[in-house]
Amino acid sequence: MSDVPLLEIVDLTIDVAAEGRWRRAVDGVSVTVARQEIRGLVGESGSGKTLTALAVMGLLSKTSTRVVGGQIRFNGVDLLSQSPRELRRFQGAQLAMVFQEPMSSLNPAFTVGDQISEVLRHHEGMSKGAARTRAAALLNDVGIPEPTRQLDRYPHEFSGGMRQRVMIAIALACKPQLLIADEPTTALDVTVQAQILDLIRGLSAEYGMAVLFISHDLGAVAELCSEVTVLYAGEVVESGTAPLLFSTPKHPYTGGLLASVHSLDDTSRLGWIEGRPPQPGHFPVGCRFHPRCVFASAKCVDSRPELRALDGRQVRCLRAEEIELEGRP
Amino acid sequence: MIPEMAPEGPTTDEAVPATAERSDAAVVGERPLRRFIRRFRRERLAVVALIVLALFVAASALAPVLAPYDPNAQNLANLLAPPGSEGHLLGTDHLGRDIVSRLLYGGQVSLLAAVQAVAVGAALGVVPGLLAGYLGGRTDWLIMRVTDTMMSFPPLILAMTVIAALGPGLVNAMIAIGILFAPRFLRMARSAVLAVREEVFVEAARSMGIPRWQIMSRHIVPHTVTVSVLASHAMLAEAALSFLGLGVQPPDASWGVLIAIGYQNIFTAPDMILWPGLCIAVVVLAFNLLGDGIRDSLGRETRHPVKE
Amino acid sequence: MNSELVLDMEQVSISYPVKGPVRSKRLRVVSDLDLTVARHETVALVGESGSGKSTTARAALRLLDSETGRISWAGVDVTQLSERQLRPLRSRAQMIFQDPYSSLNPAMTVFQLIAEALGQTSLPRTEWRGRVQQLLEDVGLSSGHADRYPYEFSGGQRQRVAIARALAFEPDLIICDEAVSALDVSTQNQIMALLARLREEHGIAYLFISHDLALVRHLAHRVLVMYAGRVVESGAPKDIFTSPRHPYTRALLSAVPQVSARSRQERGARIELPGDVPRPGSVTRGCVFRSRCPWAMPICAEEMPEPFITDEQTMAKCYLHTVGPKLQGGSVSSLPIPTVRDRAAGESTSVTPEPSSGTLRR
Repeated sequence: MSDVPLLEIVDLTIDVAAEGRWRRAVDGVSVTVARQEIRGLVGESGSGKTLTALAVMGLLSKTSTRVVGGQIRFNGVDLLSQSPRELRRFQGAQLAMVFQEPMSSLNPAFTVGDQISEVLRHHEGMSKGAARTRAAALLNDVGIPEPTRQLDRYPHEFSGGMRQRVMIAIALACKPQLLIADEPTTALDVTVQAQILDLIRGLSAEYGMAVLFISHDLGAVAELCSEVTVLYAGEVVESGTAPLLFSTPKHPYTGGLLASVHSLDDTSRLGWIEGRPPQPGHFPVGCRFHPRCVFASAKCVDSRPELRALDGRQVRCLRAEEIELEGRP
Repeated sequence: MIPEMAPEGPTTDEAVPATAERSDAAVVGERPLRRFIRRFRRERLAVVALIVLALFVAASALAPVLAPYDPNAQNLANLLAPPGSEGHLLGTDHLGRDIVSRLLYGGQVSLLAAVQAVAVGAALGVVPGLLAGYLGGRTDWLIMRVTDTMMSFPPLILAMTVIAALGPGLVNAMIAIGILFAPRFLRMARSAVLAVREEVFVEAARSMGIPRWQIMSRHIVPHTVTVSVLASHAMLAEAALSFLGLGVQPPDASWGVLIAIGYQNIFTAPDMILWPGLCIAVVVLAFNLLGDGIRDSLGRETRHPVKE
Repeated sequence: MNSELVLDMEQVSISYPVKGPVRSKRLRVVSDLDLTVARHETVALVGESGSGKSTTARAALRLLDSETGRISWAGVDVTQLSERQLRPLRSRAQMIFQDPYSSLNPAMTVFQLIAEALGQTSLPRTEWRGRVQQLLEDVGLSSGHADRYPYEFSGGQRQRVAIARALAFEPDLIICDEAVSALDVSTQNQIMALLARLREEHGIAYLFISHDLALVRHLAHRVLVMYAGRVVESGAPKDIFTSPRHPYTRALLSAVPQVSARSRQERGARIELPGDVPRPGSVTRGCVFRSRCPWAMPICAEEMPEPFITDEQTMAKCYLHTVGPKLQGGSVSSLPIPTVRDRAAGESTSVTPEPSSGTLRR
């Protein structure tokens, strides 16, 4: 296996058009995904997580966003410098994405079988029959019972969890090396969510596929991901292995998120972070988190912290060494 | 203590509004009317349309002042004078009557007719529409079937049938057109009610013991304001009926009548049909643009901000 | 009639009419529901989609008609009352709805919204301004917000307005129908803290509907677990979350994602539930959970089990307490999870499998 990471986002910077001006929404974000790694990308509104994902897939809106800098290296190839035609060879084949609302992502006018076959025939040039057989196999892989019969069903005939499985089947059709999942379980019941997370985990092992799992739900991230990157106001604020970050967070934002997670066990309280995450164009000066940070000191108000190594992870905080944060070991 | 929070508009707890109302949301505490006016001002075409309409209305209203001649005064010595003739900017018709004057007075009739037709249509259509939407069930079914039947008639045939019953003449023609439009008003009112009826805040009001119609009534009005578009249809309908001789009766003029006359004289004075035609076209276009502008300015608040 | 119960629902069943090709059928969405909320008590109703919990909430407020059973508010039987008769009673029980974006009339200012509520009370009009200000401050907003429109507020703030409006009635009971589900976690917790404080200050009882078990743990005195239109278990959260007495509760708990690695270890294996929740009206005989239950026994096919009552507030509807392992109120967690083959063997004799879309995954 090669040393080159599967996906290397380097210093990605994206502006969005808002209120008539260009505003920085993703500011020098670097994220790496190794082969077969399952990495969580955590953040709230305004963090830039979805924009980052869309940039990787080449799905950014040409009118309201613009990539200002950085590279997105996939197997060493910079996707940002590819032409649309070249990009399309990647999309759906080596890179695939699953979205939050399966009902709106699936075309209601076509059967599930048609939608899976479409990808296969486009990228791999399969015949109708071969594509259909493979589509049935995929439905089976994602745990849909009686797959051959289900091929001829329409999306509205499936439940939410089943639809999400269909989406995953479409994404998997060409055996991508990287699956980007953007809040795939947010709209689902907890038992269904658990099934989908298990499914993704299993498929990653079986297909040797890496996953970039985007979510604001720390519980889901903790269940599935081995690595985690936390975004806030367009920047990476903490990044490292999941057990490390969740048991001993070093950034107050991570600590705050952990404190607000609902948990079944006795010891937790319902905490929260004061205020609301800032939107592009309204990022605070100095440390972007300082207005909401209980540990903010004078230097945090005007100095911008750099991302640096500390205790086995990367963290962007001026006071990281001095503060004690409660984790969830 | 629960900390206080200042309102910040739709930059929400949980999502960025992807298509927010640009800077529309920036003004705080604004009454709906002011917001509407502010947005409307930005609809350039609609503003122009409004000005044009205002000009036409003013011109027609001031016809007694502006018209150089009595529109019905015949001058058999000066038949079919071409435009630019002395004393007649647009010439005269086949009975020597000044065209400019007839246009001005005709405008009065046409514009008024459009308004009358819309008023009749609204009067006949809105209340049943509200009832159908609110009551639902059998009442709705019945009202809608009647409406469907009416709408399945070719419109002019329906109008002519009414006129046959009532007799020709402008007022009757307008009643006929009003009846023609009633179904459209009915559907508009009904869909406005339906749109609101399923809203959660209606259910919420019910849980507070407030009668549903009370809550819904606050919402119906904005939906029925796109009357402007129907006014343009009314004008066209009047023109059609008058053209057919079923509307305005001679010697009175309306733009429809003027078109009829222009049509009869098209070989001898081809320009005569142009002027009333232009007037109708411009006013109809203005009504349509105005209607579009009003509809866009009313807008709907971004209720479900798109997740980032 | 117990007037210590702000809400008493007895054997309530609710059906929806559905138009068929020939005539319309009625689909049973809630069956034989017993639910009480005592004064100052917080009861949580949890379940997944299709459990019937939202329908129950609406029926509790008579926003829906129930087919059978009796509903009482503070001792008054409201089951058969007409809209008009209900009106004066509505101040006793109010609801906060799930979607903060559609539950407030967008054409009204915050002041008007709350004033509309005050109009249903006996407070004189002259005092409305002051009362609205007071209510806004109570919920953590400033009185300056009164003349603003809902679209100017965030989701969390709108819910606060909704809460203020409900408080205007000085109700005995507030039903929160997934009231925080549409908000982000931070805001959810803030609203929960607000509700807890208001409970202390005003002595309000809550019926809290949610799909989030971890959330209700903090606020509820008693939890009712619903599945396919029935309450399958009830008890104190601490109790049933550590020692569930119904297989569904155990499966549900095993699926809740945990951030803490330690908790994940303690939780043990996830219990897979094959298939989907049965569609309303499709289970006519036997236990409604039978088709997906890892411990289904032949008797489960015959009749829906009666509640097995452990104490005044703890109950589970499951034959495992009286038949088979005879748990007698003990926790279902003590039972080993059967393998695929065991399940198939257990069901083959007299149970006709549900026409479900499920098979067991490896």
